[in-house]
Amino acid sequence: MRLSRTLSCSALLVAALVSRGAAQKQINERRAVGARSSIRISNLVGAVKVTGWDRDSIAVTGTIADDQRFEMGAGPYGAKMYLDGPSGAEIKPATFEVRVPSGARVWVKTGNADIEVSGIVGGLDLNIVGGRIRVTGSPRELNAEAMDGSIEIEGSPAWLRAKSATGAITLRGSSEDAGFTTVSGLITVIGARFERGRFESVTGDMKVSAAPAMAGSLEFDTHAGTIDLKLATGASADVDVSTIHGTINNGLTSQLPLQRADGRGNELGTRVGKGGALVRIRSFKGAVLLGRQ
Amino acid sequence: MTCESIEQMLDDYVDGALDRTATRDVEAHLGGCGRCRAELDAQRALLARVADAPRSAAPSRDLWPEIERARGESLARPARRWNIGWMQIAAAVLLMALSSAATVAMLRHRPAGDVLPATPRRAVAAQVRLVDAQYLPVANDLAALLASHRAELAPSTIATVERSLRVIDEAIAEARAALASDPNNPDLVDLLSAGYRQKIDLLRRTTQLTPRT
Repeated sequence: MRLSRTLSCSALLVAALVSRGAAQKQINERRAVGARSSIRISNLVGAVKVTGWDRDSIAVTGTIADDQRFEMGAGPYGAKMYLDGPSGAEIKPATFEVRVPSGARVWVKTGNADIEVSGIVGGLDLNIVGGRIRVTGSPRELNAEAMDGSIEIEGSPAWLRAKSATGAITLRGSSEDAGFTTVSGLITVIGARFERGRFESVTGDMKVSAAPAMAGSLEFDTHAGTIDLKLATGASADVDVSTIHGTINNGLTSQLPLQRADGRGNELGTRVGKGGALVRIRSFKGAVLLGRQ
Repeated sequence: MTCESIEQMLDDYVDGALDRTATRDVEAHLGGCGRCRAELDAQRALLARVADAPRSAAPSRDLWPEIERARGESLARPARRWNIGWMQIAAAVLLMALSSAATVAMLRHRPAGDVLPATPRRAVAAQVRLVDAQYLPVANDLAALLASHRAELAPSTIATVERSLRVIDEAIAEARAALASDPNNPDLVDLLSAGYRQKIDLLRRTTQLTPRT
């Protein structure tokens, strides 16, 4: 009995492996490209891992469904790759690892996918609908857009724009010029230093612990999200808050928020440290919480 | 070739950046695919509109005089270059002195409890019209473009986008309602603009999504 069960299980396992093996195929392609090439990756569903390396070439490995076709063209100035399926059929999930020159400008546009990027110092333009974008490192420029997918950045892109509809956006790092926009996603920024930071949401909450650079600026606009701003210890800024219906809780200074003379809305203007940098917060009905890290 | 692969190449095709073989492939597909031809036409139409668009957009009529009138202030237009002589300066100084004296006299004789007149509602109405003139046509164009591409997007994506658009529209409506009862609040005008910006950005991003995503 035990032997027959073992045999049955083994047979099932072998059948599963065979069927899996028959349904998928491996990709392994390499091409020479320039160190500052433009790399375009599109129409990939599943998982894409892009890694910068110190070579003037691009290498793609991965697994795709048997009835899918992987197309790639490359030249000295760049490369382009995409998945193609039988006419009218859905693109099936695939997994890819793409190694590109670290100074490349990489453009990825997909539907539902997990995009993981590391080691790029050039530019990144990443676009998903669902899934996750995760970037590690400090590209010169990073534009990341998602619908309900999430965006996670760990590093210090000099120029950063992150946008979502409902997905969460998280930055652990800094940026000279950063912009975060979401409709209802959560924006979380941890330990950042900004020359210029702009945060916008409709109903999404924002939890930001940051330090504006001397003469830098942080600007927040929300309709109904809660803004929870923690300034770094030692940070100096002139803080200007106005809300229409939202409350203001000032844990930065002893200054109390004032109700506007006509009773419509609250305002707070206060100087933290020696001032200099500008923090401007505007909220329709979201609460504003100010404090120190 | 499939519609997906053509969609990937269409930008380059329109720009004339494809090599001869790829151009032939695309044209062969376009010959037998109405959907891709429609996409090509839409891209060309969009490019033509962009090419024809002025480098800076102005409202359909000059609203500035109306705003100035409504605010009851003489807001000087910055674009004008002035050539001022000593006589004009002297006249301006005299005018300012007289104006200040008159203001002081008026304030001294103002009855207790009186309040300074608020900015007329027409002023904010004009500002709201400016915001509408700036954003509404773009939002409407993008909404129409999205409606024409709606069938190409995944139902889950459409659901996410529509949910977000509802959230934005509610925020815009709330800002408008607040402006109706608090017409002197410039923050509300800015929040209204922010709502429109969010809407336009979301619509723009949605129209650029790859089909079937």
